[in-house]
Amino acid sequence: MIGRNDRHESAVAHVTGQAQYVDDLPEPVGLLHAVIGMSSIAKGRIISLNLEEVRHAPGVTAIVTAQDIPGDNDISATHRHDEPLLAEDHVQYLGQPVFAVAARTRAQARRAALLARIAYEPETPSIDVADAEQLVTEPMQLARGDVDKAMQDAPVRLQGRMRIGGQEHFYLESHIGLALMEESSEMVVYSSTQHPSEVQTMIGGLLGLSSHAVTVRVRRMGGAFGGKETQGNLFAGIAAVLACKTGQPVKCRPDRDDDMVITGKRHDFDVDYDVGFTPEGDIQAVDMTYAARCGWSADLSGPVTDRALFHADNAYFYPHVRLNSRPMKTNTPSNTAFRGFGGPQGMIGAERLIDEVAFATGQDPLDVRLRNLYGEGERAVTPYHQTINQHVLAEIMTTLRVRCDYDARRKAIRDFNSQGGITRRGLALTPVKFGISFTLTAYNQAGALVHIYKDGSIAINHGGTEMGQGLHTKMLQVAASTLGVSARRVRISATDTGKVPNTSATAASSGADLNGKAVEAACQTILSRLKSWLAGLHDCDETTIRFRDDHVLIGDEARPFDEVIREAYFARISLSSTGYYKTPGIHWDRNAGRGEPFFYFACGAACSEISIDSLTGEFSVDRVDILHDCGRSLNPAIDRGQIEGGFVQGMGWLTTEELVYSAEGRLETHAPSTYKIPAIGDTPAVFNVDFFENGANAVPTIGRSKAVGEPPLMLAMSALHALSDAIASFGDYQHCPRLDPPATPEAILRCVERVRQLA
Amino acid sequence: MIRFLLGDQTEQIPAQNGQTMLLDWLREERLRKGTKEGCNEGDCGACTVVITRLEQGQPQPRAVNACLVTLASLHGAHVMSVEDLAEGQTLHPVQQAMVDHHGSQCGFCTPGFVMSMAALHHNTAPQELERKAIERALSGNLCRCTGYAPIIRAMQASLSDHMPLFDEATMTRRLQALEADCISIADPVCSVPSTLDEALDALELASEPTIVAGMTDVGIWTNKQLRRLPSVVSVSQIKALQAIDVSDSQLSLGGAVTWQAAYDTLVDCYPGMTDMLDRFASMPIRNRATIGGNIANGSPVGDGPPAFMALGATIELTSKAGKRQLSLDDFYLGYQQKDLQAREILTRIDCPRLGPQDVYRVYKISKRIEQDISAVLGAFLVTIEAGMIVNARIAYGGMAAIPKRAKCTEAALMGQPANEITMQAAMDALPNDFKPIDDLRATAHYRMTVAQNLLVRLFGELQTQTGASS
Repeated sequence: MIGRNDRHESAVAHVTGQAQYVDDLPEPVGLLHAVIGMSSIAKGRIISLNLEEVRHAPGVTAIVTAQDIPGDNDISATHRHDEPLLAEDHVQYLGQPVFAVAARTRAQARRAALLARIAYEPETPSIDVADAEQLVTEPMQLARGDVDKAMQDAPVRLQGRMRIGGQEHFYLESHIGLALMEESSEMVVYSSTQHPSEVQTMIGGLLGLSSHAVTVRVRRMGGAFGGKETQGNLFAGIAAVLACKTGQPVKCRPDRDDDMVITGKRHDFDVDYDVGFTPEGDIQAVDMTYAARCGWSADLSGPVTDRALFHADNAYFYPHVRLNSRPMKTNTPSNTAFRGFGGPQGMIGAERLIDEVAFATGQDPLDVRLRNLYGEGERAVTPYHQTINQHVLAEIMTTLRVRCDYDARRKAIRDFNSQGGITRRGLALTPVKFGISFTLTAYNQAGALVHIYKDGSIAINHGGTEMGQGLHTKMLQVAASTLGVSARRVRISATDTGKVPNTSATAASSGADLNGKAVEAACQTILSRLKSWLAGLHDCDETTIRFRDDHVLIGDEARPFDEVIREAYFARISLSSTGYYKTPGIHWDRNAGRGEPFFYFACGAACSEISIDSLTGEFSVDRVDILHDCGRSLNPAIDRGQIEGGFVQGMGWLTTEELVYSAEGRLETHAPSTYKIPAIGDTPAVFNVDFFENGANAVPTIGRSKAVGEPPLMLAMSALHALSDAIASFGDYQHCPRLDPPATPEAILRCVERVRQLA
Repeated sequence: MIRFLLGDQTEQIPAQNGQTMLLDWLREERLRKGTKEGCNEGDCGACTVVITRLEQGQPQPRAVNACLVTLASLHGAHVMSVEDLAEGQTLHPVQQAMVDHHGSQCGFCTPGFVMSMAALHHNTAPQELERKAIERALSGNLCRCTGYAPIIRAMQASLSDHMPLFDEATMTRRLQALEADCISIADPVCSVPSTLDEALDALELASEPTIVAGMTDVGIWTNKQLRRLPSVVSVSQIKALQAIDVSDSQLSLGGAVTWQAAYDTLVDCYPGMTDMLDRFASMPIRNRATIGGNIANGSPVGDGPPAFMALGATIELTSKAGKRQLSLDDFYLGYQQKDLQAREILTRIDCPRLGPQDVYRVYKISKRIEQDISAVLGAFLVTIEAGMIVNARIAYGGMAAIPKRAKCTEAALMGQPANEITMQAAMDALPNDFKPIDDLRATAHYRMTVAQNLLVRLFGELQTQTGASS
């Protein structure tokens, strides 16, 4: 039932090792293993590509280069034709796929790939945002009011630059694609992807096949976080091209290091900001430019940098505002979607403004946050001219402030720090307001397919994919609730482009919102057929018939569900239906920078307390209190998991997760030995998560719930600001520390040194 | 033949396949797909399995990374993968708790977690575990979905239902029977000797032999760099190399003693090492990695060498030519260069015990607290008599091409009062000892600053320890 803490539908399969990921499927006879040969330089022309030794290595069956692609050598997610599957005459980043080799074993293919001899004529690469000269896609501007005048009129004005680090997804299951050629040139592909329909489209393009000849299936992913929204196209595409060439099944699973070197990550940004405000701390004018390291191709960098601007306000009203994006082309992996999709970087810019204003006006940053929150009337209008219709953050933040004893703890921490010890503590409470909907309006649609079998068992299918977020569990709950049956009667099958076509990526936190409504619609179609038939049969009003507790209530009679279904079959009632949903009311004009791109906003707030060791910069997150708005939660246990997991993942992004590129563009942090996501000891020692009680969604979402996939990641901004608060103690809280993420121990120590020098 | 037990089955593997990794073999040969490959370098824990051997006559289950375990090293052991945990439809308590507490999301890390948890569960009395003990046991299992909170809750809850992984008596009998069947393996590609003499013979016969034990570094050469090893000689089954001897004057550890096996003794003898031991790699790695391997590897960022150097350790190297003793200080000659011959085995390390006036501290500094390679490691042994520093041995890792003593810094301390002036002099001397480098883990500036600041930390502790006035 909706609202219950049903366990993950695969929980038992997970803990027993029975849950199958693509690499666990029984291997078809004749399976070949593909390995990708990569560019060893960041930019240049390929002078010669000698693959003779590769070809003659033990076990090798086939090699493909750009010339071997039967269709269009392109996997650009936004159809810009700027992303070849395999490099042609130029390479544009270190790690770019140049060729692929298939061999009888994966070990043979890995060894063979090392034997390639590629000669390059190197060119000077752009690695950092600062080096980049070219835009990779169109920039965007959002503006409202008269920024220049308001800035001049503002009593106080501050400018600065912030650098925000990127983030590797580190899904535990690396990318993988398995392609099987079936009769009549049909291709069946098992892919670890959030977007099966796009894999289908890409493979169709690569092979010159129509979409009806390509079927893509996804039972589950071992984590994705946005990293499998577009990046899976490559691995599925390589497998499909080789399967087409050899006529044999082909699996392409990169080694972890190769996965990290090849695929895109969260965008890092350089943010230039200019803020005008009053001595009381009221923001008057904001002018910000968000320049992103996008990598060698556009991928999703356009919508990602757009979303950075959509969230450059976080929760705050800017009376006069101008926001610009600069999506820069660099010779690095093509950065891509990652939980929050640019939104986190946008928000962390806003929170820097708050910090600057708070230090300049000598106030508690929390008070500055509260006084600048969106309000009613003209204070409810965003930089993109959408009016916010549900204001919950003031209540969430003040409730959390009281509940976690913020003011007393802040005072105690200041007293502790005033003793001047080596250990310093910090506290911060930050909000999140995240817009829900794809900003590409067409993506806000979904389909589902529901069958009721003669025995009363139910199979559902929908366009969303399961990556651990519990989407399938929630969909089972929606189907069971709508049909009035117990969840064990309902089964969900692998996402399959042959069952539900033209699906959107499972992304933008929209999976349950979109697919839930589609599943509900499919169930309701069948229900209305059944009710109409039963009403005729029993000569009663349809509206009096109820489906509940595995029974059908007709007047005083309660008949078992499966009995009614069996009779319905014999009465020739159709027991199968599709369902369809599109989000109502949203629209967006990118050129004008105006519209209502979001159906609603998901909100929450977190308060973090940390301590730092000022000798080494090492730190610990000691206590976290969260109050988050999930609306009427479809499954509080799953939503809690999203909140806790999102927070820790966000904390990793803002602290220990550091991507290091060499001057030559080599990713130095390409394995978990060098790239440090949070480990179990990093989980806050005290971690209180509560749901906001008054959060029923004002708009008619499924069960009045609110999306929860991405927003909690940004609650971790409180940890960064708590670190900043601790560091500020070294300057007697007179100077804004300007702590840029990731706040590694080294970055913290550097910031301590800086604040000490200012003091 | 290599003989080991997999669940209920006895496995016999030809010695020439001994270099195959357990993870690949489980998945490809035994079609046990529950054990996952996440990183193939022992950092993520998705491939965690439990290996049980008789230790002091008792079967001791230990969680290990299957991606770094060769089949040869299983000779005489029992292996459990996730498929062995549930009894029919009845889940093991840690599995049930993970289900009940929503401890899995994507599920890919889950089998590995469940195995680490099961090993901890077996080795824990049915009472609430300290959070720290859970962290210590699970720091080698990465989860990207849950933030670990429900996994910690599940681990705590699982203890209310105690169920051993196996019946001790039955497992003891099975392992005794297996051991009786396991004879030394002497194969040109892969040797598993039982005695030191057999090992020296194997080394003599092999071409380009690599001496291995835990394989936690050599496994990465083969998994990642695809290096082919013409011949490996595994010394981990040699009982003499597993000896731990404590006398009044010294602690002796055999070269093949694992970090986890040595943990309790090291903590007893050198409480100042505890924090480093908890942060040294992860439980599955500590269960495999040996003290001798850590020293002989010669990495500039290994944590053991500076910690032992500060203690004044000596090592014993054994070859056909005989045994020789060497101060650990003299072992490292230059980057990846050691005073070690090709067919020489590091058989023992001897560390003097601490005197009543000795203060010994080891500080490990890294980007992430757990399971990370040090940016800087500082190890300090200071002897204080009547407020004066009468002896100082200091060694650092991460500060040079080799683990190295800080002789200038030591000189600045020697014979001086333990006060702030001395501390400052030592900090000023440190740049004369080291010229650290920039790399992905830290800049030279950070390394030097932290290395100096660790002297501040040390002097802070000296004050609390000895009450010496500044």
